[in-house]
Amino acid sequence: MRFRVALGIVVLCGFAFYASLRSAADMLARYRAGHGPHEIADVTAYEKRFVALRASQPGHPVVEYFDDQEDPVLKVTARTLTQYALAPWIVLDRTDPPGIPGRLVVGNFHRRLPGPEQLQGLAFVRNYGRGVMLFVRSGP
Amino acid sequence: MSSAAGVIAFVLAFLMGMLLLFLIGPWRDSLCGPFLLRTCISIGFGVGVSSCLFFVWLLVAGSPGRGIAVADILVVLALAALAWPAARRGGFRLFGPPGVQERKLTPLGAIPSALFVVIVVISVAAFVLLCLQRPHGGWDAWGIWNCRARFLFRGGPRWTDAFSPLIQSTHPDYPLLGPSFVARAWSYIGSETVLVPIATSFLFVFATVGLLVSSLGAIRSRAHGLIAGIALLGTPTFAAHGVGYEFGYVGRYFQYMDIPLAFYMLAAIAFGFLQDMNPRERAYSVLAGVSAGLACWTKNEGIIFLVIFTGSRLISAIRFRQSRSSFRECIHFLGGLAPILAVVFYFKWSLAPPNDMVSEFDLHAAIAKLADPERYRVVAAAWSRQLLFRIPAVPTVLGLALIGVKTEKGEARALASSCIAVAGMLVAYFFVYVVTSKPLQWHMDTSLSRLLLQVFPSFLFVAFLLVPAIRVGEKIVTADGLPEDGTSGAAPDRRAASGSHRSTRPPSSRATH
Repeated sequence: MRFRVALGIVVLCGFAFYASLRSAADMLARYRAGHGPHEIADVTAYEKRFVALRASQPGHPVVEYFDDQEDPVLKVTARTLTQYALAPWIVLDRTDPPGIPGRLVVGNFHRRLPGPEQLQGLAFVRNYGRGVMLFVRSGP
Repeated sequence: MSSAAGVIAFVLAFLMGMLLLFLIGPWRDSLCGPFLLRTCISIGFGVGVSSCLFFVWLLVAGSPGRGIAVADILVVLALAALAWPAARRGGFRLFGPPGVQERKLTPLGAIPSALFVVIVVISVAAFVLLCLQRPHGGWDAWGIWNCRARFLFRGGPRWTDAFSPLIQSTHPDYPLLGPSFVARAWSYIGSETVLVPIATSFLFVFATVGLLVSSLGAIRSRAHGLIAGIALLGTPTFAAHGVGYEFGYVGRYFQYMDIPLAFYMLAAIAFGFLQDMNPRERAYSVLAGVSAGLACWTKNEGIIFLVIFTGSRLISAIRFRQSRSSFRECIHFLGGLAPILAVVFYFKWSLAPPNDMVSEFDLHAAIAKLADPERYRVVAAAWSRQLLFRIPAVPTVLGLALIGVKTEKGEARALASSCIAVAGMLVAYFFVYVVTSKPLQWHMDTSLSRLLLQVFPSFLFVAFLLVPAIRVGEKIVTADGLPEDGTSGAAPDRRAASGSHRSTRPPSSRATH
């Protein structure tokens, strides 16, 4: 085998091994550290918060959604995780269509409970604990 | 009981793929040889076809349920009945026909295998770690694919709610290969488990590597395939937010559908290459058609791939003046493609809402963007950053450049067609960004590395075809134990791929370099 070919193989394989070992080390470090700044730590734990809510409402309701997240990435993540947990419910963003009286509204709170201005037009139905609440739209 | 049902779901899918490959494939010769190639293709075809069948089941039965298991068993029995006459004649051999060339290894030849095994072990360990860390997969996995699988499985008779335009954020227009396959296995089990999408992801990650290794191994040399496999598994992506290196193919897009798409793209290109090398064996065109169809059933980008791949075949046929034989190839290609494309069309036509990028498309705005040099600069800069830092392609390209370029006589059309397909995909993706209606930087930040990784196995396949056959301690011997002439590098291996296994040439002294 010519030297140049051997060198090419060494470059290819050497980089692949360096990158693999480096990836493995970084992955292990991330595993020990938990989660990144824009990640919700544990999807399994997160969706467990919604089990009681889903069990309480049989069928396939279309529900509105609001939460207390301020970080835009976390806000989208929280809503998408709620959709994942509640499927086959259809989870609308509160800002999507105009509210329809009588429609259920899911509240998903991580740090603080909603203030009166957030609850405008909503009637409280039930607190499922761990920041998950159900409301019903009473007006626009 | 439930875990056994899950295993049965996967085994039946594999059997479907294997029997389908046996019925379509050039089983008399080449595909009987490389066991790994047959296995990987059987996995990909099995997942794809069983996913299509589950979708048809949902349409016919109206809701998921364990009845799908009965339907799958009937399909497997029907395929087995069709395959039985040929199998009785001795056509079906899992490990290849007797008398084929085999490759005997010297001690030096064990080095690529050992390196490959080590990198596979590291990758499997990383995969296990990922499963512990993120059992539901990455963002798109739970946000789109597994969420859709839940709609199909939990939805009962309302499974079509998965395609409601009210949940645009879950991209309800995306095709259903992954969600449908996952929901099918859950239907067997009767409950949801994260093990199903994890196992599906595992199969596709390693089947893609296996397909690359075995196809290059069949066409060029064993070491050739193994080194390409090492390059693929070792490709990192340097993730955003400073979290460091991640395994490109194992970790970054865990449980995403980009890797299954990469698998089907690679399979179609590899079968296209084999078709060009074996013009009389038109079954390769059927297999390429099935692969391209399943790419469309995996992701919307698969439809772009179908157009580019078909175009690449037509261009190379015209360039090399083979339009008559290409017409016959085209008929066979359509034969493999049509059944799956019919499912895709039905889904797109009757269930899926319009794709957001298509519905937002404005021709005048697109023309204005095409005429804007600033957009080209921004897109080119992002691509450069990706290729230099996020998916560091420079060491791979440098390594291949050092090995050198050498094309084999008689492969011009096959290589041209494969190169056009890969280059065409890259060009298409480039222009998708140029004309995108989405905020450009956001669109590239959220998708560019994924799109490049979709093409990467096919790129490696073509790039490794362009370098001379790498042989490390490898001797090709004929059935009678005599060494085969290996000086030309690719020629004996090409015969191995094409099935003309029995060498009548006088033995020569060396087959290594």
